[in-house]
Amino acid sequence: MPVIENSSYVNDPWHHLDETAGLAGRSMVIVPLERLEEALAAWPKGHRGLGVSLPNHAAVDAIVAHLARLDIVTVSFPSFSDGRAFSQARSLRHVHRFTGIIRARGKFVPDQYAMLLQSGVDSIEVDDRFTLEEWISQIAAVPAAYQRDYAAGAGLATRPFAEAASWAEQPHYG
Amino acid sequence: MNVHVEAIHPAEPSMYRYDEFDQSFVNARVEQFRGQVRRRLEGKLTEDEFKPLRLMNGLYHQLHAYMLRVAVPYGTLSARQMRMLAHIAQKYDRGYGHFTTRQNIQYNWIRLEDAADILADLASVEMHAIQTSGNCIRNTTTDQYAGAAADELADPRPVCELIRQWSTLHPEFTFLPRKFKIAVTGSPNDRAAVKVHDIGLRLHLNAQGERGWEVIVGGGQGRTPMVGVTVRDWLPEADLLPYLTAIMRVYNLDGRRDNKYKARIKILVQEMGVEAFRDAVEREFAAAPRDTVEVDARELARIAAYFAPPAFERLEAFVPEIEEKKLASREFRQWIKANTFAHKQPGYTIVNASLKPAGGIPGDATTEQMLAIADLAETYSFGEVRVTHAQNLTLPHVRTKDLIAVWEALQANGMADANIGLIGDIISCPGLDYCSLATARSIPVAQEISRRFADITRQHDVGPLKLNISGCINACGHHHVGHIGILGVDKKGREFYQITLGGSSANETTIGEILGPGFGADEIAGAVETIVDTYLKVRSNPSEEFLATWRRLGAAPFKEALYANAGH
Repeated sequence: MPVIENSSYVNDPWHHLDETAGLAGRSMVIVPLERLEEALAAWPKGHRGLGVSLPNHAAVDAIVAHLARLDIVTVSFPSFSDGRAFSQARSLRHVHRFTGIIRARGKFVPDQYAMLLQSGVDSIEVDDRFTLEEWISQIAAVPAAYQRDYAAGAGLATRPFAEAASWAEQPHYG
Repeated sequence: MNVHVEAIHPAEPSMYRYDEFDQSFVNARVEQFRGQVRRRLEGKLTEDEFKPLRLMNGLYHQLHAYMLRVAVPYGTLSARQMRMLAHIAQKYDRGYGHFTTRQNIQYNWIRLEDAADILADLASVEMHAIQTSGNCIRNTTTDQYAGAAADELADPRPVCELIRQWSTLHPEFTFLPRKFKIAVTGSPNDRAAVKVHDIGLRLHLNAQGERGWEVIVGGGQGRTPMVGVTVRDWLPEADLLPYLTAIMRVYNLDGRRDNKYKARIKILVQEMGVEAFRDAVEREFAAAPRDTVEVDARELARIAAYFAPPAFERLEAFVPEIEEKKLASREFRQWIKANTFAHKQPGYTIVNASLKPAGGIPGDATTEQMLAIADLAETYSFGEVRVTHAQNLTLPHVRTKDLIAVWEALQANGMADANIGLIGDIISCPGLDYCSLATARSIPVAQEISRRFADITRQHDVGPLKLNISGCINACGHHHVGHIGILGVDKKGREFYQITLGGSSANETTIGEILGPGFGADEIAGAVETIVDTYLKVRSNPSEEFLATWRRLGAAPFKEALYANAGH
């Protein structure tokens, strides 16, 4: 599936590993949450290239102890109206200071893209239903936000917002 | 955060004004919505995807037409804004609007193609319809007498505005399990029903005069009515938004999404247990970094400056001509008693304009009435109007010596019924006449009851009595907290009305108890009369109010009167 980061399609180096595929010799893989312990045990200390897929019903606490060893966490939208992943992303980025990639997958729509970025997501996996322009145009649709700290200091995610200096220094709640 | 307040717009109403940021935000939102409508029409968005987007802009599809619900943040309007509401009623609707129990206004006959233009008209007077629907944080409500009432500790509206800004298109909390309602009171006498909201906030002052907020969570009406529980007795004001954020995060992550009828926060609190819920919130609150504390304080101070009291004159509290008029006119005396409230400033009075004429539709106001109220606000009330959760309008700052003139003007426009807080002051949802969720009509029931009690002197003899009607289990008409509550249901294709007694949303909040079998549409008004007549017979003295009598005697005398010979 195409991946958008920083307003353009990128070559995605990550592979999703299913429930049964072998871990030996693999790199740049995203494992299901239930295989995280197994993957961590198999992963040589100091090696990078491991990620986890966090279902939206799982507690962020389940992966918090391992964040330093993870390079990517995916959060999911089984339906676009189920907004749990926003809080998971926010919690990872803001409460637990996760500095890796947070990627959203599933059935969200361009109208939610700005909120994903603001919550700490920096990478989205999309299908061909919407064009790149449709995704990007929705970031600019409301070029302001009252929740200033939702964009500031959240890594890659905030670039479109950080550059929108018009609102960054407004004396609003932020 | 104790805030030093200074008037910054002495000539303007004492309320929040948009700056460039707010204005550009709302303007952008209008254009975004215009684009969303276009993309829906082009088929780029499915109806399922478009629906929550339009709902978040207040646009519903009802039985006969689109309905647009416009936000009146915490019920405060300027005269200029009221004129725009009148203009919209005239231009895009059928010459009236309906004020709601969330202090908003809704228009029942809107065309989809006009919706974006209406939002643009609203934006021109610093208004919008953002988050008046959808599974997000709705319009924050408060005491309609905020900033005016003699009994309040402090004006709650700066905090309401802070919450409005914080909750507007919140990136994290816009796709919640279900809708979310917050109410705030700055008075020890709760007029904002804080215990029947998802979150209720009640202001307290400590011995040092510092402000703290009692946080009440998990109240609500609907099909599972519950009284909220206090999770914090005293939250320092500086912690308010971080604490609200913690509550919202726990709810967003753990609230049920498998069943929309169990998705409100009250069910989460109930299923987790209050202690476990409180622990989860406190853990979240303690864990979150506090990057924005100073921003909160600075922003609250900036907002509070807009709510500085208007330039009150020094006036005598006692006005002889008003006292003389009260002696001379029973009508005026009744109006003063029911429709005015004590103001904090000597020589001023809070005036309620009743939108509950006998036989009328509760909460409806015509274009002419809205214009008349706008004029009165400008002439007599520093340009300010309030919408009450009981679906009336309030002129918050009227000079006591102007009361006769205001009364006469309200009379001339059909808004002087002396029935505020009495049985004629019925809260009612739109019911099956408009609403696609309703199972029974509520408006005709309200009309019939108010006709039967049209005699104002009789209403005054009965005394304070809140009668609330909902046309379905969702309880938009707040029947659970009516002293007399009426719930309309559909029983084998026939409208049927269940009565509850003893509900209250005041300080000692209680959920009404079902009295017994329901009544048909042609019987319900008579049943209410029987209840009232029974109360008059059994009250211990004329000053024992209906609710007190109910609490003393319980259901027995009312059941006896209603069912003994009714063949139920």
